[in-house]
Amino acid sequence: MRSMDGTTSRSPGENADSREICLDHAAGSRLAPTVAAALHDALDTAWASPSGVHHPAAMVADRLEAARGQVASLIGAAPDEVVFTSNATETRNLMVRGTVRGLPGSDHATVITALEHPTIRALSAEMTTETCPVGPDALVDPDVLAARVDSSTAVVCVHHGQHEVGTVQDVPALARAVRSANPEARILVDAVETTGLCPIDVAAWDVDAVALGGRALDAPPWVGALWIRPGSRLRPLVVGGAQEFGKRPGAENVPAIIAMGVAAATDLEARATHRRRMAARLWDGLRDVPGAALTGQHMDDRIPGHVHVTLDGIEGESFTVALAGMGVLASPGSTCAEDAGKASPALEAIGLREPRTHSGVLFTCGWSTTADDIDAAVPIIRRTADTLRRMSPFR
Amino acid sequence: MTDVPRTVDALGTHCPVPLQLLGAAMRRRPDSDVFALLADDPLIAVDLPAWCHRHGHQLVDLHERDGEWQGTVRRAGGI
Repeated sequence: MRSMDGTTSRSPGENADSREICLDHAAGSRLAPTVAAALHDALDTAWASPSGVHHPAAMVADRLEAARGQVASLIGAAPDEVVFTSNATETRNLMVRGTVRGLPGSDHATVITALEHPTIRALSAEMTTETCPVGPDALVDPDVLAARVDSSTAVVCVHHGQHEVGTVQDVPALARAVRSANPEARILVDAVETTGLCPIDVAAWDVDAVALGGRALDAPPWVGALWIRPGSRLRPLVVGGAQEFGKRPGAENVPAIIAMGVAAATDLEARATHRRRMAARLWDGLRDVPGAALTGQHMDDRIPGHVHVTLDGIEGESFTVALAGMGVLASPGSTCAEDAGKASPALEAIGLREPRTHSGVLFTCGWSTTADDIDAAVPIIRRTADTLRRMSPFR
Repeated sequence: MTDVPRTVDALGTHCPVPLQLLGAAMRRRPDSDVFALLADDPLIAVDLPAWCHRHGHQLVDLHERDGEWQGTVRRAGGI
């Protein structure tokens, strides 16, 4: 197997060795070799506390700051505008709760889009929240968003790359629309799924905070980062130390942060191009499956590597379970659909109705996905779809 | 050097963290001359003047509004 960095290794349990083909990289993925090497090295060598005063501590502090600089460079920020966290969920919590708690008053009118991550939806339940609808293309119309923002709006949440349907929003256009309606509203962007996959320029975006994740850029999922606009009033969720500018006190996960820095310094376009090619190859193999529809936009305008399809007459969770039994690993895409048998909120938001809202399947390609993987997976997916459709009561 | 205040947001933190953050910001931003410290720990009203005196910095202003303090500090020599 040839990967982006030219290596041909494949770990036991992955793809060819076990006859399993992972097309679920958004949920979990083997670390890129350069990132894994950095992590292993840091576990061995970056053992001192970066807060210490001795030489080993200073060495670790330097490596921590180098990683901060690498992540800052990825998004066009200054290093001291980046706060490391333990994962994407913590980042989203710090972004929303930290911002809201830094605002005067107690009732903060919030606008979210209908495509937000469940974490943002749960956090918004703590405020008076209005939800901005989206069209069938799973895009937020700037004018529609602006119409929901007025002088009372304190916070607006936008999802850059939608984790389920895969569409990528035009954040600068949305930010301009929000600013025109209320220049004081705080604009918070969830870019966890697009970190290192889509260009992010915080200066050009004109927003107030951006949540970043490690997983999308081939770093560990147990590290995240939050960019905060200088001068923003953001309160920490926990107290007790000056680490991470006091915004996320407590011992830093130094090895994971160093690994995230290495991943952030890897060429974004190469990472994205590889995933786009693999995703396009996959969709080319599935587009004529009876009842199959690509959710959202054209293949070129979505999160690289991301293919979300609905299959008329086939229940998504059953499909993914059946696929796993055949050695192809995918995801139903929605935790609601997966855990509670409910319709996917994102699919409902773009106007799909039952049973289509239960028929979503998410395939995500990663750095280790090969053309051979796709070519082996496509006939399995097609066969499984055909089998389930013949059993379906919705035929 | 620039006189545009560099904001150090210490809201939600408790003594001695606000002063640690201010000191770290001064080390991190050697090109900035003036810093605006935001804090809501009431001890800052005592600690910031003492810290500035100890390190030779000029406390340009310190005021409280609705439970929040803003202190403006002009850097002197090294800290």
